[in-house]
Amino acid sequence: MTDDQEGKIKEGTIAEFMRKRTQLVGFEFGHWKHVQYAAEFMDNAIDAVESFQWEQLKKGSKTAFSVDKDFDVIKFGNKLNEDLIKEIEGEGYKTSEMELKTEISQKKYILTEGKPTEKRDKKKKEKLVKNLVLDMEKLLQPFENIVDIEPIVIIKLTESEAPSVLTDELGKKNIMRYTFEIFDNGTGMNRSDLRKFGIYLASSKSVKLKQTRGSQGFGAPSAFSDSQNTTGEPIIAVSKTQFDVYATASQFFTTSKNEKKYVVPHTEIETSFLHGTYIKLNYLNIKYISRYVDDYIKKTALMNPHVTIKYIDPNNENFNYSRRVNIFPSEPKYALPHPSSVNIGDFQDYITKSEHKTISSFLQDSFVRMSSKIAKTITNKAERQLEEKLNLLVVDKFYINRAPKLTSPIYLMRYEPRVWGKSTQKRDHLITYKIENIDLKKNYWELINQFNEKCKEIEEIQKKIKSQRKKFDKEKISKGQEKDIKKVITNFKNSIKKIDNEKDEVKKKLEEKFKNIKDGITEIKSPEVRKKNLELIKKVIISKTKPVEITSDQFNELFLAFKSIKYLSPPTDTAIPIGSTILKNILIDEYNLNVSTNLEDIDESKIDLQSITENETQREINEMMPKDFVAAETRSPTSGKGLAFVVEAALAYKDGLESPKLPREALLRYVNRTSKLRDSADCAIMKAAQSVKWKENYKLDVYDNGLPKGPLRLIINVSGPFVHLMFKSQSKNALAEDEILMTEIKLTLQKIGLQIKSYLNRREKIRKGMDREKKILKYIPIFVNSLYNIAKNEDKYKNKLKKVELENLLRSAIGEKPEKVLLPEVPIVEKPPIIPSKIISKLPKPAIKVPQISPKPQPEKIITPSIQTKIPALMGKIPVTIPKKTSTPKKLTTTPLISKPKTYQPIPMAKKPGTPQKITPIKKPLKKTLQTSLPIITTEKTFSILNDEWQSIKHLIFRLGISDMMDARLLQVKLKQLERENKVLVNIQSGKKYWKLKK
Amino acid sequence: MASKSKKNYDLKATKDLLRQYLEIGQYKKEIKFPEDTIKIEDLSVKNTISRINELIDKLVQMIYNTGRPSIELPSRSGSNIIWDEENDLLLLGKQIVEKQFHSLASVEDITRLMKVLENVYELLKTNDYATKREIFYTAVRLFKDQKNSDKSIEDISTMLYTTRNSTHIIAAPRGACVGKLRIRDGAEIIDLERQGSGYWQVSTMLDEIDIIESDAEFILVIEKDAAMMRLNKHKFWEKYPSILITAQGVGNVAVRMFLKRLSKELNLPIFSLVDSDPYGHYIHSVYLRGSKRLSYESPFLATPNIKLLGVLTKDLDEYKIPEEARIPMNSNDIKRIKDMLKEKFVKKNKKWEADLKLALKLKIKAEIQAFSSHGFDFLGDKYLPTKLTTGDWI
Repeated sequence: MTDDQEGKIKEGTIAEFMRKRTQLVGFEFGHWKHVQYAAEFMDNAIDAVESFQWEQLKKGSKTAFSVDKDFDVIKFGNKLNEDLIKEIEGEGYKTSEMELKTEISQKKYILTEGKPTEKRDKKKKEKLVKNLVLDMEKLLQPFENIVDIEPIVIIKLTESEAPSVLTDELGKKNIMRYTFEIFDNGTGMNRSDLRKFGIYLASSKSVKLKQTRGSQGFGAPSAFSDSQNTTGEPIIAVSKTQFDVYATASQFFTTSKNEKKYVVPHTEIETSFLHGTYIKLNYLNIKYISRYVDDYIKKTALMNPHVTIKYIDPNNENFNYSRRVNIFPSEPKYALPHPSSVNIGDFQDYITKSEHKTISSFLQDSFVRMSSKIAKTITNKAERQLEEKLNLLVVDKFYINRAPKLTSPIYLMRYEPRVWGKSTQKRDHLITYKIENIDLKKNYWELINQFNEKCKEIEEIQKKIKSQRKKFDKEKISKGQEKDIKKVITNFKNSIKKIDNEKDEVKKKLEEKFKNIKDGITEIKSPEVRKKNLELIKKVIISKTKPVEITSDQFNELFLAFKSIKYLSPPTDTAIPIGSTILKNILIDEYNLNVSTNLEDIDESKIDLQSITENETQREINEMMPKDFVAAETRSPTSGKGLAFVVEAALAYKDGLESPKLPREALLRYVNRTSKLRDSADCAIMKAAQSVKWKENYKLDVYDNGLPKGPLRLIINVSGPFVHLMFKSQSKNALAEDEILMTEIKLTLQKIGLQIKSYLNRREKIRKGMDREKKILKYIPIFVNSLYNIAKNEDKYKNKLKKVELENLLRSAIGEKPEKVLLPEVPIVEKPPIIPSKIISKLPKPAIKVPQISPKPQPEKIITPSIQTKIPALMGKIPVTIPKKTSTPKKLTTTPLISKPKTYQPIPMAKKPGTPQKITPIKKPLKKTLQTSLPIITTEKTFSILNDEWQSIKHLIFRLGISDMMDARLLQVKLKQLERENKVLVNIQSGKKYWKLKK
Repeated sequence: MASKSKKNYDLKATKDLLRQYLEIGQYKKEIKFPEDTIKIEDLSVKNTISRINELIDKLVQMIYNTGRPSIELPSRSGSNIIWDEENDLLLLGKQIVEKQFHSLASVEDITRLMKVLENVYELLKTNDYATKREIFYTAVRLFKDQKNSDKSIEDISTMLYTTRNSTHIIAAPRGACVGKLRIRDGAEIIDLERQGSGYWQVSTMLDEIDIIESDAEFILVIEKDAAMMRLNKHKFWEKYPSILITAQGVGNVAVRMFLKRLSKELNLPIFSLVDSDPYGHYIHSVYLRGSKRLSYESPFLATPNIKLLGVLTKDLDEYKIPEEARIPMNSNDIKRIKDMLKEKFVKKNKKWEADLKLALKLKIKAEIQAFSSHGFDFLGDKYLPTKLTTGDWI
């Protein structure tokens, strides 16, 4: 029986596996396949552009992109140089379509894996290569001048008929053939990298953990597999780094052995760009419709305003997204894993792969927040555990075993310089001694017993801790109980620490006693014992072991110690968010929001409706409403469980913004700035957004799925190194539901919710106020009209009262709070005590005679007794004082210009002698206080008294000779009107207004 | 045909009653007015206009002072109204309802009030009259429904502490009157004795109407038009000096107002002649104290001293109305009687209560025309005079 007898199990390759399962990465037939192609390659493209820029900025190189100037891609649009086109077509260079025809006719690589065609003429080869890059040149031609200055990504998708031989076997309708081209001017790949490009799991980013979009090298290879699976055609890749003189172009197939087979091997060609990558491939898919790929590209462009993106769709429509910011985002730092996110399997993996020479250096280099001190602590801790386990005490200068029984031998080991073997020099060797002296033994046992006792104590305490922990697992315990249990456990832990310290002291005593001891010990020279002890020591001392040689005991203890330390949170510069200011600006730009600079400035009481006519009202009212709303919130990077990621969200609200067609599109999800369109129901971001109580707390309508409804857009972006963001599937469309992630998102959204709530409240308030005012405004003319029609008949109002003025007065009082008038207490009226008629007949005739009505009516009119008729003043008096807006001169207030409302006497029907009639003083009617000749306040008159000097209202009143408050008020109104019409100059000093003529 | 001996009834009881009224009228009762109450009464045009002017003054003042005009209406709630039926007084207390212009709740109300005021002013100035419906049509969009304009009309009259009639917004003329009465209507003198076979339609423009003179000794309010015709033809009012008035059914505003006027000025006994059924009793009650809804108008339309003359339930037997002329009551009638028995004013009047109870027991009703079974002139020649002489009224 040999060891290499063939079994039945064979190891497969990842390529074999993935070739048939491209749907795992999102490449199944359907509209989404177009998106997946775009997504995968765009991720790579933008990553490349970014990493290029960061590198250049670090070095301060001159080849960096200059982003400080604005860029308008439309200018460089789709105007191809017409001459160039003619040149291309004229000379019979083949376009991709024609290429296909020739290739089909050549029947070289349809439905086969593709064999390298190395037997070509040089000329043919050159022609082929030229054909390869024809499309590329066409694509790049408009951007020739700026391709090295401006970060740009160009995507082009063309549609063509699929050969029936391919579509027939698929059995699906409407299958077309698509040519996908993408160009970016990022770092590019040199020859060796290009060789690996397209091979599964070959990635430049998986080595170190960094916040990037693409990660492990699955996307592009899957795309290639799909392309080959559906069309059987090779892929063209051209790439160049800035250090190469020529670009490398190739056309290849990828194989199930995870290798590449070249149709056109690496050839050096000239290109118009200094650095970048161009990829072209073909695939089959159902017919392209809009709103998938263009939507994806649009959304990605939204979140990547530092890159110019251009997309040409199969209908030859151009989608141009110019760069919109002048600063490049900062580079995220590489991230080592954080200890709290490492599990035992990972740890094992790291250790076995490690090339370090000591555990300490391994620890420090593999994990973040690991200092040499902490590493030492870990190893010490582990060693101590091992000591006890393997019964070997490590004292500072020597080792001593822990004898199990009284009768067992006690060994003492230490390094001493000896000469061994054939060498002549003394070298340190480990010498084992056995302790014979009874006194020494006694001392030993004393101390060891102490030591053992302490160990036992610790054990017991640990048991207690365990039993406490079990309580946690029981059914629901109250929070108070939980707290108590936790307290108890911490107490135990503290006591363990104490005991540990005591143990150390015992060790020290041991050291004192046995240090440098020379008598009472006998050397053991047997090699077996020596060997055994040596091995034992090795087992214990972790600090001297190489990571790869670690034993399982050591490993376990090390891991336990490793996990028991409390580490600082991971550094947060590994996760770079977009930033709330930029987010806000993106939204403002995108949706043309009209946001006021300071939202607190809106003061309803300052709404000036005086000058509004009916036609103007609506417009001016609109101006007073708070404008559109945008809010963005970026959380500080979290660090729970050793993961570092940043959540940010932004909300834009604008009247008239179209509500999205599908409810799930109300939320735009982004992970590391890439738009995620699929699998929204699964995604943690969506779930977190749904869990926020939009309606109850923030007054937003909601869809059935819990997302906020209305003229708004909600954007959430989660950034972080890919290893800290867990995707649910390989297609990277949905984030896994992590508690910390959900909480973070929820908190961000809640903060935004508060802001929009106050915005909506403010709008509601103003609108209500507006509605109210509108209604009142509506009635003003009717009211004034009626009032005027009655009043005009009275002499005193003739020619004085003007409807417009009255209307204005009423209008200006809208929005003011009325002064509180205290009404006097109103007694409830009781029925008057009536003397019954029987008694009346006994009463004598009353002294005061009342005019009697004779039984036979006379042929004259019956005169009703004259009655004082005055409107009763049954309410509290109208505040007579003039409101403090106007500065009234003192002399005016002293003379009562406005008559106090009259009180009325009850009609005297019967007066008992002796009871004084209730007399209320009849105040002077309004007529008498009015001046006989009233100054009429007209514009001319006002102008006549204004001059070059600043005059206050006092002066003006005096000069006009006004002594009636009504006129004073009219003057004020007039001045205001002139102010508004800009016919006078106004100055405000110490709260008072001064007027002057305008020249 | 043997001539019936025309027994002349001397209407003793009626005359006694008349005398009684005249005596009472001499004395004015002592009434102590509670503080700060105002009496509501009719006003002349001039006075009404001056009250309106004062109101306008106040409003203009308010607008210039604060820009926030408001109107104060006396409250018409139960606690603020005193309607003294016996003394025929309506008093309003101090409670005020303030209607502000700058308040969403009352801006519409106050504008309506203003509009009605404008209309009233115009009517007064031009000495014109208008009905409630016409007021509504002056500003349909503002009022939206007639009940809004009706309410504003009521409010205006309250505000001016006067009756609705003083505002020259009147009800439509209805009803008929004939008898010993001479009135002046505007510039015309109308003699209600010389109406021929017809009647004078009761006008509601009571401003224009003055009572010149009357020989009547009592007033008879008749439910049925037919009965009135009968009595008029026989010149009942000539034989027994009286005024006959009918509302042709339930008492309408015009008739009740006119009746009130007559009652106040002439101080005559008033009798009602209704069918012997619960509805008739109800009609009497309407004259007595107004419709159930104690609206603001009622005090000016009720004649508290009206007496129910006939046809009483006991009269059916007394005056031997044959069985076939009697109609059994239905459930509605019974319900009405029961409702009426609950009323305070019925309970006060023992005789009435007894009559209603009798009716309830017998469950029979009869119309006035049932008397025709004894002859067409039984009503005017025998029945009425007998009752008036014996004082057989409730």
